[in-house]
Parts: sequence; C-alpha cells; structure tokens
Amino acid sequence: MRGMNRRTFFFVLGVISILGMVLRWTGIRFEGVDYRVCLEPWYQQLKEGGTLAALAGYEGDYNLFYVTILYLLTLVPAEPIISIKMVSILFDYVAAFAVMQVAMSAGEETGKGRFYGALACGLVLCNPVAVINSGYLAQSESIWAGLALLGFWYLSQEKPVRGMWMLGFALAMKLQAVFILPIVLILYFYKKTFSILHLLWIPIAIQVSCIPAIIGGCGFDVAYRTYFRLMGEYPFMYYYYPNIWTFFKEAPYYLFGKAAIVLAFMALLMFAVLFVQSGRRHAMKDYLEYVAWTTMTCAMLLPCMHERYNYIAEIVLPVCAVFEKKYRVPAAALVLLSALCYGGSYLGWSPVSHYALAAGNLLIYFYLTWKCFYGLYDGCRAGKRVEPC
Amino acid sequence: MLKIEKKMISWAERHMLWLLVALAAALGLYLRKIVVWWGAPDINCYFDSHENNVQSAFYYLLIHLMQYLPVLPLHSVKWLVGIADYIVAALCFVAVGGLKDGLKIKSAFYLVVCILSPVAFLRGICWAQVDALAFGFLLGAWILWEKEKRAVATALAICGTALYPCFLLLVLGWMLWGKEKRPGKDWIYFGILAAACYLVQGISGLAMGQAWRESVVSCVRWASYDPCLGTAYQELLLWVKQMAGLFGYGAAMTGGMAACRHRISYVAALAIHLAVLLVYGSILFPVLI
Repeated sequence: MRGMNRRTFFFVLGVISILGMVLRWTGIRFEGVDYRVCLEPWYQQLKEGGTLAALAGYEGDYNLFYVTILYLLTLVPAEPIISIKMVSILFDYVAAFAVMQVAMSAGEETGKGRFYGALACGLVLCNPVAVINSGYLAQSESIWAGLALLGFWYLSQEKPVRGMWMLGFALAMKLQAVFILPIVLILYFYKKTFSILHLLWIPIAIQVSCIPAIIGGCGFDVAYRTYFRLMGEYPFMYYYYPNIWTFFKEAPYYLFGKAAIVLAFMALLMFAVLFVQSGRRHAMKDYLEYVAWTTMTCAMLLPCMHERYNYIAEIVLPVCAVFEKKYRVPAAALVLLSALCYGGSYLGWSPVSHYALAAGNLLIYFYLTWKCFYGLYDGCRAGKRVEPC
Repeated sequence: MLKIEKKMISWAERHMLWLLVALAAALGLYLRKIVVWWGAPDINCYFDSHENNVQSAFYYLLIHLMQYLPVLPLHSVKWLVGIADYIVAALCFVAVGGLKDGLKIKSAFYLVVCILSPVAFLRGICWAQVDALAFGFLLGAWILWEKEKRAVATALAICGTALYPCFLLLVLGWMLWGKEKRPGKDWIYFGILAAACYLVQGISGLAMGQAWRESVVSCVRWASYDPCLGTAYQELLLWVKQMAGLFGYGAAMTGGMAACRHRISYVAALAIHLAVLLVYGSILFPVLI
C-alpha cells in the first residue's frame, strides 16, 4: 500500500486537489466580515480608480503587494468574491506543494517519499483551517504562508537566492511571514550553506513587489512605512488569538509588549543554541517539527496576535503527525481549537471561551516545546558533534 | 559564505552559551528599566505597616533605610528586588550544577529562565515584593549549608527569614523533610535561626520606634492579616490566594531547580510556574477568572 508508483502518485494528487477545491467551493459565496468590511470596499475603490494611481489612494492597512494583486483582480472579468478567494485558494496549492516537497524529502529516508508527499498534500489541502481561511473567509494567510514555506523549502535544498526571493515576497505580503525567519536563521548558523548577504535579497524582493505601487505614485519606502504603521496599530497584549496573553488581557501593552517580544526572542534563541550545540543529525522530518515549533512560539508568546497568525503551525503540525505518531492528538487538537476560534469569530458559531482555547493551545505548545527541546538536549548531553547533513 | 562570516559564526558557536546569558541579562535589565515605572494597584501598602504591623518590622526598617538613596521611593524598593533577581539567578545557576561538565547548558538555561521568568518579573520589578531578596538569602544559605559552612548559612537564613518571616515555615519544612538524617546539631542551628529571626524583628521594631512585642508579633501576622488592608482575612479564597502569592515565588523557583536536579518532572515544575503566574496575574490584572 505504502510503496506508490509515479502514476498512482499523480492520480492521488489529482483526487486530493479536486477534493480540496470542492471543499473550498462549498463556501465560495460566503461573505465573511473582513470581506464585507475591508476586501470588497477596497476592491471597489481600486476598480473605480481604474489605473495604477488607485494604489496611491489606497487607505486600508494591508501591504501594497496584496493591494496590487487586488488591483490586478479588478481587471479580471469575474465576481470579486470569487476572484479574491481564488487567489488565496491558488496559494493553498502552493503551500501544499511546498509541504509535500518537504514531506517527500523526509519520506525518502524510508523509501516512502511519494506516499508521505501525497498524504502531506492531502492534509494541507483538506485542513479545515485552510479551507475556512481561504475558501470561506477570503483571507490571505495561504499566500504568505505558502510563499514562506516555499522559501524554506528552497533554503533547505541549498537554493538560497530563490528561497530569499520567496521569503521577500512572503514578507511583502504580510509581516507575519517573519515567523518563518527564526528557522531560516537557525539554518544559516547550522548548515552554513548560504551567506548573510543572501538576506539582502529579501528587501530587494519587497521593493520589487512594490514597483506597481511606486509607479502609481506611492513613495519609494511605502512597504516599510506600512510595516511601521502596522506594528503600532493595535496596542494590545491580547488580540483575539488565544495565546498566553489571553490570561493577561489587562496588562498595559506599552509596558509589557516589549517583555512579551523579549520572551519570544529568548525562547527562540535558547532553541537555536540547543539546535547548534546538539550533536543530532537533523532529518527533514525534524525540520518540519522545528518549523511548527518556531512559528507557534511566535504566535503563543508575541503580543497582539490575531486568530489567523498561527496558520503555518496549524497546517504543518498535522504533517508532522504523519511521521511521529505522538503528534496525532496535539495536531488534531490544534486544528480543532483553531477551527473553533475561527468559527466563533467569523462564522457565527457559538463562541467557546477564549480562556479554554488558550489553555488548550498552551498545552499543545508546551508539549511541542518539550518534544523539540528534549530531543535536542539529549544530543547536547551526549556531547557529540556531527556535521550538518 | 564568506571566510570572515565563517570565522564569526564559529566564534559565536564557541561562546554561544555566554552570549545567550549576557544577552538575557542585558534584556532583563532593559525590561526592568521600562516596567519600574508601572505601579501595582496596592502600591500604598508597601510603605504602610498598618496599626496591626502586618508585615515584618525588619522589612519596614529596610524599606525605611532605602528611602535615603537618591532615587524615587518606590524605585528604591523595586531596584533592590531587581538586583536580587539577578543574585537569585546566579545562585540557581550554582545550585543546578554551574560549570560542571554536562550540566553547563542546563545551568545556563536555568539562569536565563530565572532572569526572564514572568513570575520573577511580575513579583519583583512590577509588584515590588521582596520575595527575591529573601529567597536569595535562603538559597545562598542552602548552598553554603550543603558545603558544611553552617554558621554562615545560618546567618544568611536569619536575614532571609527576618525579611520574610513566612519563609521560616519553609525552613522548618525542609528540616522535617530530611528528619531521619538530621543530627541534633542541625536543630540547634534551627533554634538559633528562629530565635535570631524574632530578635531581629524586635530590634528592627525598636529602631523604628515601635513596641518590642508588636514587632515580634509581626513575624506571624502574615498568616492571618491582609497586607494591603491591614485587617484579618474574612474569606477563605482570599486567604488561599494570599498564601499562594506569598509562597508562589519560592515554589516556582524551587520547582525549576528541583526539575533540573531530577527531583520532580519538568512538567510539574512548569505547572507550578504557570499556576503561580496565573495567581499573580489575577491579582495584578484583575480581569482574569
């Protein structure tokens, strides 16, 4: 069953792709609150503007790269609700492709690469969180997450220029793509296969993504101005994502926001130290776990996190469960909790207490932390060093 | 990758642990500098022992003396605790194993955790409670006690328990814990510790112009009087919460050390830490629960 030939592999991929599209199509007419309040008015505003100059008049809080995509969609003869959602759905497939590649590479160590690849692809495309996010809510998480995962894949394959371009586009799409950077920096220290100078491709990619907006009349530094504006836009410790700060909602952001950032930074740094110091030869499936952990660390410990910011961990952890049985329950629980959170906030489901959701998320996070840290610490204790694979 | 880059990375790898510790120390200081301006809701009671002398006389003497420093009154207390946080972290580093082979990473990590622990952060620099200082004295005493330096250890423990009399109960608990092994000499030291603790309270009270008896009684009032209101507890839940607050910091720090020394599981230590954090959070940011 598990040994899969090429033809079966592509057949299964086709079936999964169709199933993924069917799942998304069931919600294609659904208008979420963000669509009604933000995306649709922005689309209409850009359509009325007609030319690239409309980008300069854009008043929303999304990055110009996404707004440029919205502008291009106004030129497509399709209903906005469908065209906007189709872009997000397209990038669901990009994310699935990237995760599939990583899973195939991880599975090749056991000779079942195609089987694991198809399974991973199915888990991403049929993940309820991904379906709700792009198919129902027309959100753009799949775009930045897909690009970031693709960037990570290229970097792990020692193609740093392509990887950095993808990361640059992901960052140009949304600042949350920065959650993938810790694992990229850890790879930089550990693998030593690319230079710090490669990181310069990221601002170049961001700048390139803004060329249409600059032509339309925006300032040269428009991308960076948007980042700075966004960073201070919502000064709250808790912003609807049930993480540790749910329990400290009333803590003033202007004092405790930095403490939260430092906490997240130090947790990542301690992980990096263990990662580098451990004598483990990290396999590709380990990297998947590390991607899930680093992105989840950002979502759980950083302040002002939205419901959707743990997106990468939510689609990657179920794939980790394919390789490691112990992750099955945490992965299912994480997806369920996220779906409940989405449902309460956007789909009109009866809301579940955010304290309960936060407690559940924290339990999963601490379990994942324990698994990642303990595995690495064992290597450190043995005191052996091996060269990176 | 450039040659210089490779050299820098290998240098960073060699000194990674110490860079981590230095960065944690610097960031811990930076955060404390920000939060020192924040005041807890019960800020007034730091300087008010109420007519019942709820908190220890030695504590008030220390607070009184700190006011002579050229900083804002509240900041003087907060920075005292802030420095104590670092001392506790250093002592925890030693207690967990220090620079011994195979334990270096664990010790360094625990040092970082102690400096940036949200429990220490909330209880110390945010709330200006002196638990860290008292705990530091006791931890130092324990380390010296283990090295058979009993007299100095007792002297340190006297400072800790006089400052925070509820910790006398902890010391008693610790003595009873290893009851079978304790020789009579140890109990003599404990007797000296208890007597000296009360003596220090009395003398401190006298120095502050209070009656001797009142100052000595301040040693036990923590068990039944609310430190903010100065009245006896009327509700059980409030009492439980206050006790969790009093012993929480010590429990969180000791729990971490015990886990590092394989006395309890890491899960238990983390659970203790989170539970204490929730109690502190619920008191400082009352929307919780």
